Amino acid sequence: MLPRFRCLVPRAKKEALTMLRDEANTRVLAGGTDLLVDIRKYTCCPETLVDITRVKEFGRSFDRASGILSPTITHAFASRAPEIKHNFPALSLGCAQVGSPQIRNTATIGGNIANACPAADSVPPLLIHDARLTIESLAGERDVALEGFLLAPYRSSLSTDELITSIRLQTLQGYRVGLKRLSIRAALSISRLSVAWAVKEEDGVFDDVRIAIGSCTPVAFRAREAEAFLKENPTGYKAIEEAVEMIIKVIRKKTGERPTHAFKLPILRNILLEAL
Amino acid sequence: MFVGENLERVDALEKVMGKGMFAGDLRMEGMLFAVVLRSDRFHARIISIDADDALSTEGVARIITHSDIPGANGYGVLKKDQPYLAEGYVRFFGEPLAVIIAESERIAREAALKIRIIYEDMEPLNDPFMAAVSTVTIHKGGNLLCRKSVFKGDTKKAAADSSVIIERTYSTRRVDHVFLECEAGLAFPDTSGRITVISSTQNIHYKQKEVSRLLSLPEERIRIIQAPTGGGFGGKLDVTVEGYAALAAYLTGRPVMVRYTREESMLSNTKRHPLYMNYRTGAAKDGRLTFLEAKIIGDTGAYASYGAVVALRAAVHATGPYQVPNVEVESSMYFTNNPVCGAMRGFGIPQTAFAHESQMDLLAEALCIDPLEIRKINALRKGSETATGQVLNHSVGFYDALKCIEPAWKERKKTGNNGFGLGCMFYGIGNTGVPNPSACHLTLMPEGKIGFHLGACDIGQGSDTVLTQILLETLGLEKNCVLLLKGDSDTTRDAGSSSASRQTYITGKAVFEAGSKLRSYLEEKGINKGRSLKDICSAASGEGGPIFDGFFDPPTTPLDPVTGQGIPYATYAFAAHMTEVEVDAATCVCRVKKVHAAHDVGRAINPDAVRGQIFGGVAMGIGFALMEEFIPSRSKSLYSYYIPTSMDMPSVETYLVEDEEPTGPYGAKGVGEPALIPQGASIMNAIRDATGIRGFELPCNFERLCVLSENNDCNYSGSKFKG
Repeated sequence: MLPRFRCLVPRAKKEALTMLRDEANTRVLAGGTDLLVDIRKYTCCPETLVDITRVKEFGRSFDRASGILSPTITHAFASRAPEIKHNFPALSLGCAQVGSPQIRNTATIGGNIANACPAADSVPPLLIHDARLTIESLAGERDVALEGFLLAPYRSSLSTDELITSIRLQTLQGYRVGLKRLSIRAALSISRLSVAWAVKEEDGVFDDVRIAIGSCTPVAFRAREAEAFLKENPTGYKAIEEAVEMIIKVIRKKTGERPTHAFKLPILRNILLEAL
Repeated sequence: MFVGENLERVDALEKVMGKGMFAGDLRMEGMLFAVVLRSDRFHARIISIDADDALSTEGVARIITHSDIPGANGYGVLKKDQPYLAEGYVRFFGEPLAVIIAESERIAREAALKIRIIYEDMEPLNDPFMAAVSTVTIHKGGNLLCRKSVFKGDTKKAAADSSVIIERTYSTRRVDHVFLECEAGLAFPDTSGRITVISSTQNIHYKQKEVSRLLSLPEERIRIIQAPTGGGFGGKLDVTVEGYAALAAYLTGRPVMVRYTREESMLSNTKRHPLYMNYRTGAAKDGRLTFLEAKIIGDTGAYASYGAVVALRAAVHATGPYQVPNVEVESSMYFTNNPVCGAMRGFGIPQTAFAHESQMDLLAEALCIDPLEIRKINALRKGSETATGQVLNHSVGFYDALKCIEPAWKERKKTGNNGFGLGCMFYGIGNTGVPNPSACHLTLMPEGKIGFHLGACDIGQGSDTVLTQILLETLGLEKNCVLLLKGDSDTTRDAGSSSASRQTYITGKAVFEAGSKLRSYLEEKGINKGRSLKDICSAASGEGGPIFDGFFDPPTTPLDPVTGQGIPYATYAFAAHMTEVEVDAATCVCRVKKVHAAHDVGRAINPDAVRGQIFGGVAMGIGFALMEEFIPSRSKSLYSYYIPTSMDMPSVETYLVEDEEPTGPYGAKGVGEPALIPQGASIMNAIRDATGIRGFELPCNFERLCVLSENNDCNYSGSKFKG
């Protein structure tokens, strides 16, 4: 049973930011498919929710020229919009696999980022596009990379009076882009491992490789070391295998030994070998 | 003609219009809500319960602990050992401690958080192996709940003469029923002091007896009404909310609603027993089974519930639907500090089917015989003798079921990552070796209709429809001549529980009996000679309103306590499933693609209803084999406890075998549990076919499958249990 709380519905960005500054004990409601679950479990007890999904500056838009996504686009929109499908296929696929139709119709990309869940499905695809976030408060505006924005499980550098106001993605021309997500059942499940990749090859040589891994370490990450190693290496099995071992070493370093490694690491290895 | 027709469900309109009032929807003037506070310890002594703060909360009407119970603080279908409210000790995570009654559900829940309990923790027993040897005892009398055995022939001698012997250990995990509708009930006192409970239940007359004991009131002062029930699967056989609602209504004198959230349902309800099964099976060179030695150990949790029934059923069905001349099965249940395990669709047989069907495939492999062939060779058939020495003289359609799936089996094609597996079962209809009668009665109503008084609980499986079809067929009258008056202990007789796949067969026969008597009466009164039903009915009220009784108790004999020999069931259902799976080589994720399911149901009273049961059974079997694992204190909600969704559902081809059962109504047996039983086993055999890996532990999710394939140890048996 939900405890009682107040819900404010600002129509303008400035109004929303003002509420976040002035009201005590607030949380941003950007879909609420995680937030309301926490509130119902009493693990989070805000007095006031600020619902930003009606803010007119945000809308549900994607600007092709600038590669800018509105933070309040839903997973359903991201999975269906032809321009997102075309430019960011891994993001589109990742969003299509989240939860159920009801959840996808409500949950937003901005919410998925801000919640900072290690299993957030939109994050690995966003990472391979070098996503950058515009973050605003009444005090000002800053621009950060998604990669450094996520700090720990359910913790980001977003402070309580700030909002993610836009998400900028690099388009990847000439790349092979993919996503593999692992879960216990075919739908309505939390990912147990997700891997997004973008690979550009020329004449048997890796021109650029981007690999992002979620649901495996406390924060989804880009495998920078392995990416650098592969760059300009020939696309043979040997280099790939070495890169995969580097990634596994990084994971072990990040998490220490975990019982789930018994299945996660072998499966990750298989997925990467197949993808690269 | 009604039997064999796909009559529309009698409750269809009410359900699709959203008009059915489920228990949780009910409201009454002055109604209070009650919430149950439960333990967050596995095993502890209760030092104190301090409810002062909670009690002084505005809107809280009363807080009840065990000392407020007027009658007996214990319930249980076989043994009254489970307290409604803990008395001195808690024995599992989720044991009820107190009931908070308040003006609103919100107030009650918030007050519950203010109750302070001081415990002294005791050593918890986490598994049956620990329970078997530990000096810690959960109940006086030790940790062994029961040991059941079946002995026949001489297994030692048969082992010496066998050409191949396979020995493996299988294990399964705790499973939640996850019925769609969580437990809910409303209780209220009337002006005469009678207590009425309206609840979501599988058995009204049993609940009447339990509530009468709890309140120390005679049974006739308790009335139980079944609300439309959204699934049960065995989880609404034990007392759930009824006790708390009745107690609260009795003590406050006001109507009280108790309805569980999904979290409370999962925390409180009984589970499917985890079983550890060591199987040693022998066969001759030609594939004939020579012997079975099985040792089954079960974790029954903190209280008895249906543990002894599961132990016995597992022992009696341990061979599977095969002729095995020499049998030695021992099946034991131990108390642990885990959630209470009780009745769940199949009563232990989905677990043993996983073991015996894996053994059949291993034997086939060792003997280079086709898996379908070895099953045909050993199939129980007319004249076969079961492990308990029962000779099956009629309605043994197992061989025919195998023949139904044979074409699909022969045409199967490996195309890459796919694989095919078989799973078979037999299942005794009704309770095991004990009387389990059902009764119903018919009356003639002055307005010219027949009153059909039915105590059987339709829990979604469709018994109301099927039993109505049987009655209409027997009477030879139209649908609108019958008025169903059901699920009320005041107006119906005890039909027994909706469990053990027994309502179509047992209550169906009672309905047939009553219907036959009424038909003779109507004929005598001239219904075939132009006299209207209405006329007969209004004349009948002058005769004092005759009642037409129906009664049936299937002919069984008690089992010998040492050898387990006897006739535990009057009839058995049989089934064979063939499943195709696809296993992703990179990720070990298994998806079920196609199922062929053949069932001998005796006679399909309503073929669509039978198919519905099979579809549901397939879904549940997918959960059992691939996903479901209830971990006490960690599986808190459907957020982490996974059941299949429609996206996991394969296409299902059904084949209905109708080898009529002479004692059943129009030849019918049952299908509710059989639909599920062979599914998990067939998936496991299909995974082996697809990957070369055989799992010995359920659920076989991609995590376990990946570890197995990494270890590349096909004989991995994943258990500390040996012999």
